Amino acid sequence: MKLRRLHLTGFGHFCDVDLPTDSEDLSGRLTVIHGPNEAGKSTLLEFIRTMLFGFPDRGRDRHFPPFAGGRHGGRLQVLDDEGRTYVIERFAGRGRGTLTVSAEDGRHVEPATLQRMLGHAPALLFKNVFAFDLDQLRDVTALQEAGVSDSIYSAGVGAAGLTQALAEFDAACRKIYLPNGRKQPVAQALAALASVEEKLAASAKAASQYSKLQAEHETTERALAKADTERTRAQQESTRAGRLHDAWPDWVTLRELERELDRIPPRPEFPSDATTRLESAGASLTEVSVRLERERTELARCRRAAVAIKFDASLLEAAAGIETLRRKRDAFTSALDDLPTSRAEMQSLEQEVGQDVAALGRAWNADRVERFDTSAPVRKELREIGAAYNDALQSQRDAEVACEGADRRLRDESVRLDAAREALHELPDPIMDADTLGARRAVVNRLRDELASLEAAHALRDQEHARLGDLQTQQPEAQPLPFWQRTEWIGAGATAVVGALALVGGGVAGGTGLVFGLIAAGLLAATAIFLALRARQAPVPLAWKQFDKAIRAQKEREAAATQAVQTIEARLLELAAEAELGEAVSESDVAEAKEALDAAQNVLDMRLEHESDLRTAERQVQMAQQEVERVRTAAKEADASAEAARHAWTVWLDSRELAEPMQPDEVTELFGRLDTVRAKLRQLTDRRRRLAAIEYGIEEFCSLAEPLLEQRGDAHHQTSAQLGSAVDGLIAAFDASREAREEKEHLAAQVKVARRRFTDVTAEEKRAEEVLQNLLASADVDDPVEYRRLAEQQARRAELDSQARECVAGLVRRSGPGQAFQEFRAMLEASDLDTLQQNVQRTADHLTDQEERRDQLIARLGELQQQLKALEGDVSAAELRQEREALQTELAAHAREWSTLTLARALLEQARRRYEEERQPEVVRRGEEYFGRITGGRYPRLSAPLDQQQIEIIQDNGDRKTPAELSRGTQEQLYLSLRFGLIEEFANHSARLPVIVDDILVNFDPERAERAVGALRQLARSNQVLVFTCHPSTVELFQRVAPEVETLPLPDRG
Amino acid sequence: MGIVRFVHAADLHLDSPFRGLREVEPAIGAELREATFAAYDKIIALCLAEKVDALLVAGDIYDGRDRSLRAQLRFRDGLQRLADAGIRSFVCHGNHDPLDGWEAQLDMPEGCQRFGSEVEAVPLDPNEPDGVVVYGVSFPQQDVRENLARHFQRDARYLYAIGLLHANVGSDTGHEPYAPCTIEDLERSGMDYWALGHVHTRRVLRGHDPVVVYPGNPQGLHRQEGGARGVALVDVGNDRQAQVRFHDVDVVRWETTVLNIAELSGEQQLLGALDERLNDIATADRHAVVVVRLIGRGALHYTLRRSDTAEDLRAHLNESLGGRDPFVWCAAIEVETAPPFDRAERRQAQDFLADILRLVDEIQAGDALPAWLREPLTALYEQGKARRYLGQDRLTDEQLLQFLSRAEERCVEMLLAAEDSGGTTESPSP
Repeated sequence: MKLRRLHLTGFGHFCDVDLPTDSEDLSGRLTVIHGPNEAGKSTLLEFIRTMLFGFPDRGRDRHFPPFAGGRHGGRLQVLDDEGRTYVIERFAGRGRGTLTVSAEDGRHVEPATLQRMLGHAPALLFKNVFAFDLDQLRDVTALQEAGVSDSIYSAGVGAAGLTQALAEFDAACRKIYLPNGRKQPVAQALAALASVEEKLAASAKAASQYSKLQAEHETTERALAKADTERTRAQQESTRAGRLHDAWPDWVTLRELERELDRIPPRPEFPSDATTRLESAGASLTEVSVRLERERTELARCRRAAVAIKFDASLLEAAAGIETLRRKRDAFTSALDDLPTSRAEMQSLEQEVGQDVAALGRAWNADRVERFDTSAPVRKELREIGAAYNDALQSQRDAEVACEGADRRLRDESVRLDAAREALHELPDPIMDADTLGARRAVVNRLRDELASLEAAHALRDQEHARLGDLQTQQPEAQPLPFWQRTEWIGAGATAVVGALALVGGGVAGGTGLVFGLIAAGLLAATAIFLALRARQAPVPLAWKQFDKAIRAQKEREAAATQAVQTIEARLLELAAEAELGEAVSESDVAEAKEALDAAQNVLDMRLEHESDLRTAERQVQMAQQEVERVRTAAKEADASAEAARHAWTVWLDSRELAEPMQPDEVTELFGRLDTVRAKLRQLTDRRRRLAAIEYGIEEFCSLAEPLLEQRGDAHHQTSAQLGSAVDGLIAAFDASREAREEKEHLAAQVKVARRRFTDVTAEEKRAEEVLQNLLASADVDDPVEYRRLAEQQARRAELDSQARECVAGLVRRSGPGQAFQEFRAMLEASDLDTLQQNVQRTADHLTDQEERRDQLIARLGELQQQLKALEGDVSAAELRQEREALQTELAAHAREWSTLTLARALLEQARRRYEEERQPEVVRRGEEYFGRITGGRYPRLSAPLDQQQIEIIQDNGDRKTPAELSRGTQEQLYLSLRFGLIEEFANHSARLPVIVDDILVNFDPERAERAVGALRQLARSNQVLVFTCHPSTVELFQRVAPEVETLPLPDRG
Repeated sequence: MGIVRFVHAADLHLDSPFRGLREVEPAIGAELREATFAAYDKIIALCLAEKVDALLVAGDIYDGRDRSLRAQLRFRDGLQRLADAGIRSFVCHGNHDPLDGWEAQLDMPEGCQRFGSEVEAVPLDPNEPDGVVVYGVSFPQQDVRENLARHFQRDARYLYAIGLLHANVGSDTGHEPYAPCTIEDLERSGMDYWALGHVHTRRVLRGHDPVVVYPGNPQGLHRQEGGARGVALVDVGNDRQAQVRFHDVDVVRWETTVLNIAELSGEQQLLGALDERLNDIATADRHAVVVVRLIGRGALHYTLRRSDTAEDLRAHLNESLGGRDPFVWCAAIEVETAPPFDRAERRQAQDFLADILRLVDEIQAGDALPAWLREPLTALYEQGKARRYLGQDRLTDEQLLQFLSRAEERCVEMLLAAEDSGGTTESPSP
């Protein structure tokens, strides 16, 4: 990289200052920039550093602030190693300032371009090695600063981030694992694993207990079985003791009962309910006696009532006749009421039917009406024959009408034919036929065309002739231009093209555009035509050498035109003859001929039209005649059909004895009327029958009632109504007698029943007396009182016996039946209450002991089962193992990451070590050369042991010195030399950065200063070297040692 | 019906945990813990469904060190179900469950034959003493280096002889060389069928005279045990030819899917691709544990390399897969990607980075690894506690070269980032 120009917008005291101030640039390899103290050398040096590497992160506002104004910053124009120009612009802002890198064409490029141009050199390296002042040169530590020291080994050779990478790898490793760390993931995973292992060990230990627990489980189960047996036995003893104790009161009662029972002798003949039986027998006897008295009283009452009832037996004998009268009594009353009305209605109907029959005509009477057949088959026959008759008559009428119409049309068409013939006859004859007319019309048309051609041919001949005249009169002064080179033509052409474009443009624009396009095109077309006309009319000056050729050509054209005229004239003559016109044919002749032809055409067209009309009329007459013939034939056929139908109809009427000349519709109507009259006749018959029935009913009722009334002495009644009332009285007397007879019969039945019941109760009383006697006899006593006393004694015995049995049952419930009861009873007999109580207590205590023992065993067994079950179903160990695997996996992942990072660090260090071994000696070697040269060979060699950050200086006599042992000037020369070595090595492997030194020669003796300038001159072969100085002597020194040096005064401050 | 039909299983490793899994959801954890048992239950169900004559288990039923009572009880219960159905069982023990290991004193069901430390011949059907016989032997202790196969010698009177043994046949199995033997040893024994255990991948070492079969383990327990797992169902016809059919019984299957990031333009596309892969893996009949390997060079590498990206991605995938039954669980996302960087070209440069690349190439091409590669890692790998757990990842040359390769990538990333930023921007995380 080379610096070309500097522009300080605002930096320290500089404001809007350029270096160089003129339009030149710092293109020389070695440039001395000189100026007095405080001219701004240090500011410029810092400006270059700042532009390339940025403002400091902190306190950038205090970093050479623009005291003289202007924006804080500036720009550098630089050349990269490939010769491309870039502008680096940087102003104070966020971070290291706002950086813009632009290519020569002003295009912005990636800021990383600058890093690449700088060979990724860090700022510290540039400051200490490439751009330094006397203070930095003298600062022994400057080359030993970590960044520079590392950079000597790394930055220059493409490992700008080596130091940072090493530090970050190291930090990342430490984050994962530290040998004695506790917080790192590896340590935590290991701790977690240890915890899991501990839990697993505990789990495994628990599992080991399984067999032991199982054995104990079995032992406990056996012990429990034994305890169960013991407990059962104790329970049995306790139960028995308890039962004996509980049975003691029953036992005591039993003994007392047994003693009392012994005192009452048993009487088995006394049933347990003896007293009840005695009382029951007595009570039965009393009750039966009461009932017997009641039955006797009832029997007497019934007998008395039956004797008191009387009735008319004769009336009851006539029951059948009286019942008939009762049934017909209502009908009789109704018949008496209906008789007058029925008679009146029948008379009215008879009169109406007589009138209807009379209306049918004299030939009709009721009998014929009844007989006449109007059934459905006859009606169907009537419809068919009647319809055929009507249709035939209608067809006959239609045929007559058709005949009249056809005759009328024939007459009309004949009149039209005559008129057409007359009109044709009156037409004039045609002048010529159609073919001739067509041929003549063609000739006339050609004549007209040829006349027009002749006129054009005449005009052309005249024009050619005139041109020839013009040609012959012109001077041959100028060469004729082709028309496309003539401005008029060009103008016309161009205008036409523009016009066309305007039109096309207008078309594309559409709408208003099209209108404007058309206008513009029109105007331009007019202009084009005007220009073209001008072009044609303009005299054309001819050149001599073409004159003859033009004249000849024009003459040829004139001759050709003349020839054309003659040819046309010849054709005209031929055509005129053909059209029968004179030789000199004019356009008016042609027009007249055309008119004559049109007139002839009109005559011809009219005749043709009339002939067509005549043919049409003839065809119509012919068709009308054919129609007349057809309808007449049809009329004849219709007449025949009508006659046949009429005959059939007459025959049918005769067969029905309907001789009158009746039409089918009239017959249909007659049928309807006959049906109506017949219905009324049937109704009349019904009425007559009903009246007869009423009269018969009245007579029958009277004949039935009168003998019965007579029999009761009630024979004389004036009216039927009176007869009815008498019959009603008869029926009422009959009903009363019948009821009395029924009551009497009922009482007789009651007497019979009462007598039977009385007999039954008498027998019952006897049986009750027998029962009582039998009961007393069974106890061998006569007296019911004695019987009662003995019975009560036996009842007491039975009660005692029952109590004793209850006591025994209570004892058996506790002991069990049979032998067990006997033993139980024996034990009770052999014991007393105190002994029993003691036994109860003793056995209860024993049972409690046994149960406690058993409960303990059950509890232990439960515990064991629970423990075994827990062990069997324990998944915690499986979970722990899975957790252990997870932790191991995690640990392995951390270990892999740590190993990768550790090896990455080792790899960097190894590569660096290799560099130190292979490349560092090269820096020292180059420094050695420079140092030897500057010191005039006094110190020919340097040594830099790998494991030490120390340079040793070997004198020409072989003695070794450390830098500290050198004089101040020599120290500065040593570090300058080492810097040169590094700069060259950097250039060799990375980038050629500009070297900027600020008055570094002040402590050098003149000789060494001169050699140092020589060294700088040598360095300038690879790198741009800028030397700032305030010493004119230094400028002179450079000019003397390096004549090619360029000098530049420091710019004024802005 | 042929001579005999039996199921040959081995290496049940009941109640052994799944390896290589970091945290899993509790429900899935429970399924995983139950997986070996579920696979065993399927074996029992297969025996019952196929009405086999016997179940043969060739060692490593459980891990004795785990002292899992549950494993022993469940194993016994399974055999009891077989015994109830009249199916016999023959069991030998291997290096994980040797005879001297811890064991609960459980009564094995009637009809179950457990072989002791001496080879024993037991007729499959007591009513046919000269019929099918099972020879077997168990590991007396874990570390058996003796060739146990040599103790098997067939008696000619038997119709068909089966050898039941936990052993390492040959030397290329990648397993511990317990009870080592050769195919020739097995052949010399005169057995008709060798029911072996120890190697976890199913294989038929020999198809006839004798038939030598490793059925593999019935449930894969880590990512190297991917693919179908199960048992062998063996039918021996009257011609004494054995027909071996493998039956899958695993309930959780390990799957590894490799995805190249070179073609992926961003995280969304990566997520989409991963979703698609995992959906493809999901099946209707068994759970899946998936390891995703991301490989290739691409810009996505920088995102993936951030310390928590892979875990976030995994969490996201597992969340999106949540609620499935059968489940699909992403166990790990292994980021083996590299930055978009032309190594070969960069190696030609004359800078520090090129020096590193060349140095790595030299190490990889060298005969022996330099000491500086191993030495800094011993601080962790030789550390007392860590050593115990990192044993399986011990520092082999292969392991070191893997670390070296990753270390190179980290150096490249770091130095490239520094180049790009010019030291002015933040570096990538190491």
